[in-house]
Amino acid sequence: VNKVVDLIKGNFVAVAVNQLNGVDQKSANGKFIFSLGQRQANYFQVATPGGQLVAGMALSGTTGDARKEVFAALKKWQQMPESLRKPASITDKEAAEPALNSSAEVSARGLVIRVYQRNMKRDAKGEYALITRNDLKDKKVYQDPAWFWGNAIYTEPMPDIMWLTETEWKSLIPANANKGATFNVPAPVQKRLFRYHLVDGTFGLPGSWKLSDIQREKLTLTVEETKPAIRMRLHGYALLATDPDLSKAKHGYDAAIHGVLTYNPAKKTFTRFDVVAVGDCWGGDWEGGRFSRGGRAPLGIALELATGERAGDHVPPKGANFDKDLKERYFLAQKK
Amino acid sequence: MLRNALTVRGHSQWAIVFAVGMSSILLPVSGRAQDATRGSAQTGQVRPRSEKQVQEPSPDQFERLHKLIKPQPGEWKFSEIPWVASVGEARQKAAREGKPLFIWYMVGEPLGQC
Repeated sequence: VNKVVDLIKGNFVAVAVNQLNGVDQKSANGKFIFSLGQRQANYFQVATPGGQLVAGMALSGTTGDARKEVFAALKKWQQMPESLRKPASITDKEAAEPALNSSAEVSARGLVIRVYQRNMKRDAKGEYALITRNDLKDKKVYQDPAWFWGNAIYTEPMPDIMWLTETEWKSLIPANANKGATFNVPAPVQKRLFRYHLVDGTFGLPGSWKLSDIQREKLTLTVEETKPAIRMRLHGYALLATDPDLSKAKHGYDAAIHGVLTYNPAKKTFTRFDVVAVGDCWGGDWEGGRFSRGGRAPLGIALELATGERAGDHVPPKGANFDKDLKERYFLAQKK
Repeated sequence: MLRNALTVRGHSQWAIVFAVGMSSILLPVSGRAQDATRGSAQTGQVRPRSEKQVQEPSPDQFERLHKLIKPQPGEWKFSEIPWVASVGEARQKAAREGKPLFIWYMVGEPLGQC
């Protein structure tokens, strides 16, 4: 049982804020956040809806549990005078103010796809398997103490989001869908997938691949069924490496890619977008390899349609976050 | 270095707040069928994949692998919290329900890639 989760669920209204691109200081939301005072890079605050800070705490470090501090903050709030706890009147205009990082770029017509990136292992049979806490006892393989942080958080998948514009997802639907027909995935979609989402984000904030890092690539769709829906099989591979001479490449991912995409003509939408990329990854990400696993290690990446039900479905892709330039490049992945 | 430190700190937050016991489930899925190992974990040598080596997994293998990579039962405890989409909406909801706000900040997306 994770009691801090239950504590927050039962007693608070929770909101998550990207400090780099989540609030505009000039907006009502931003003014509220900044009125709560200083906070560190990664932090939580408890506040009244009217803007009275109750408690704040950095959540950095490698040990500890925030439950005690969150509980103390709740007690402190309960002991505050009614005049401070009394809910302020929050206008509908303020409440409707979207976060800066909302998915306006894809709008209701775009396609939002969940991405999961997971450190994996091969078991004794050479098959892909989950890394367990017990595995982490092998210090030759899992050398970094960070593997034990947060009850082995790095054995869990890291989430990301992939965006496709309306034009892009429509480009995946063949004009004349004949059973057995095979066609290449259009470059804007393929390059975005490869460069921004076939990355090792398992340890946090990965970079993206340069166009020149795509050493070998192929991605095709084959029509398997045409009625009542168009079902297509995705198949291909991507060899991504920082040097064409793989013996010199400090970072790479050699992935096989498979998927099943289903388009419903009646609903005019994709109803399935399941994709898996698996293969060995080596070297570090843009953190300089701080958490890189030794040698080559299995990295599994899975995609599926976002339903909109999770709050995380509404955040932007990491590759399109942080600044306008990055966002522009994300949508021009096949060019620059 | 700063970037490095921030990233590490970000993850530690994620880890600490929402830490849960890791499930001990082990769901083997064929790695051989889809991805012939080419090289050595010890040497880091790589022999690039050729088209013939990318074999199509069976539908069952594909389904199992897809499920394996996604969050397993007991993982992603943070997602059990009903996060509100924006600060303004959270304030209004908190005022209406008479609850305090819990605001989680991260360098990166707390609910996405961080």
